[in-house]
Amino acid sequence: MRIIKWKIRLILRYLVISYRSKMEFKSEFISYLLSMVLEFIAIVLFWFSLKNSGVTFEGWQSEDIIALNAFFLVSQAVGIFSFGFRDIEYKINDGSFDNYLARPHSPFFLLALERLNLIYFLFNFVVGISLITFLYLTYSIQLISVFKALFVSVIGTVSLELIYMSFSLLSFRFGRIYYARELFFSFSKAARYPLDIFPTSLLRVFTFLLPIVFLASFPARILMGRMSDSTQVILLSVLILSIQLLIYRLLKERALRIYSSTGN
Amino acid sequence: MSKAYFRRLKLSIKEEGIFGINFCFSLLLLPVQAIIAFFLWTQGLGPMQIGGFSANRMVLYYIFQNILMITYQSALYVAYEVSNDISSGNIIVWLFRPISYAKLKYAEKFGFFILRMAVGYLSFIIFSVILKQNISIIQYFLSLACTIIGFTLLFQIQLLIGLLAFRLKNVLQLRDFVMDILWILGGTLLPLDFFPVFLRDFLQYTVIPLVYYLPGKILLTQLSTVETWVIFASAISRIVVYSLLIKLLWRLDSMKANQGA
Repeated sequence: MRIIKWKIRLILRYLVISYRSKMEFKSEFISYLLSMVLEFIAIVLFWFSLKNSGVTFEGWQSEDIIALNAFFLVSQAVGIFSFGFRDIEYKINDGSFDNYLARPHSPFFLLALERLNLIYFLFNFVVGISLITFLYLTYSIQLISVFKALFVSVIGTVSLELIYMSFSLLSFRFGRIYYARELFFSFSKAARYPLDIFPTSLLRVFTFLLPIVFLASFPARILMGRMSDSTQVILLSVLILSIQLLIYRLLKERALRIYSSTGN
Repeated sequence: MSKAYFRRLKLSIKEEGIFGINFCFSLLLLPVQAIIAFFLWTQGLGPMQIGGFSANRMVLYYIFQNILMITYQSALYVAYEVSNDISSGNIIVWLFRPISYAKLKYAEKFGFFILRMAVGYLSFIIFSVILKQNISIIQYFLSLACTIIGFTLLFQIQLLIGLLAFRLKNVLQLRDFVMDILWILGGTLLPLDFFPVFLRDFLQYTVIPLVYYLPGKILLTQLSTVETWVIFASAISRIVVYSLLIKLLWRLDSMKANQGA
């Protein structure tokens, strides 16, 4: 319990640091906020233009598309917690990874905390949740569906981020993995579209290998009551998370064993 | 004097060769984009056509937009580099040399661009063969010319923003805002034919569609000769106006740097 409290306190401290560093220069903060607003406008413009031009996706009404984008934003917000792993190979290669080993915490935990972006998290999370609330108030949606959908989205995002983190840990073994990782994860861009547009074989890949169906598509279906058996999806998402967690833990231990510090 | 610019251009082409792996990797991402776009647009559009874009043409359009993103990359650093030169004082070095700073910068960036453009168009031909889409030689040439114009306009916009560093403290935020607008409304998000009419009407009077959208539109849809010439005339007139603006800004503001030295 004491360790959990300690970790929560550390997370809060890093969030405060992230907020203060973003607020250091007001004009830069406004510009950053503006770029996030523009990103959101781009999403709205994209789907509005498609609807306006008569482009439709079978089984996806306007409200489903809103739900899809809402969960995608929530997933983007949650996914920020693994961003620190992006640069891990540079830290290994230049030896600065040693700095994390000298502290009384898991080096990977600190690595993730260092790149926390509170503003990005808050913006995406607030906009996503607002859209879900709008759907809840406008359409006859059960509250339990909201929680189920949010649960699947968060669990799915954490699973995907664990794969990203596990892939990044391969840099302890192979040195440079940046391009291979980017190539593999470039498929995750598909998460922002209704995933039943893909054939079954590809959908299986997006469920078991790169679980992006859990980020937005499945949660949107659960929220709008268009999925007959949501319990199965919830169980599957938890199972995938458990497997990814296991793989991550194994790789993490092996990575630290391989790493020979430049300092000793 | 033009020899100096030509040598800089050649040097850039050679430099690009050194970091070829980055560029090849960027091209590797194209098939992934193609797969996603293929399923999205065959499902979304079906047998429909919007603004001359069928589902397969939409796939090619997005592949081409990705190629443009890669080929234009060198121009995207101009505002940062110029503002950095101005803020650090390095710009003074160029004031005393018998060359034009803007032209030298253009030669440098054009060298990177030209190699990427050639390989980019070759990869595009492969994709168009895979998707069984016939594109005429004339369309290729017109699009190639439009891409060069698009690159030049992008370079000029970036240079103008960079030169504002003589007057403003931080121009990078302005650059980010301008680039966001250019990407969202300029055709990388969707071809302009899908946008609401009022937005399309407004955009046609701006420089925004000339950089990303029109090279793709010319390549993938049949435009009439008059339409094509109107596009080229509008683009070239903008290049002339921007060149004059750059000259004016340079004349007015580089003097300050000179006095400061």
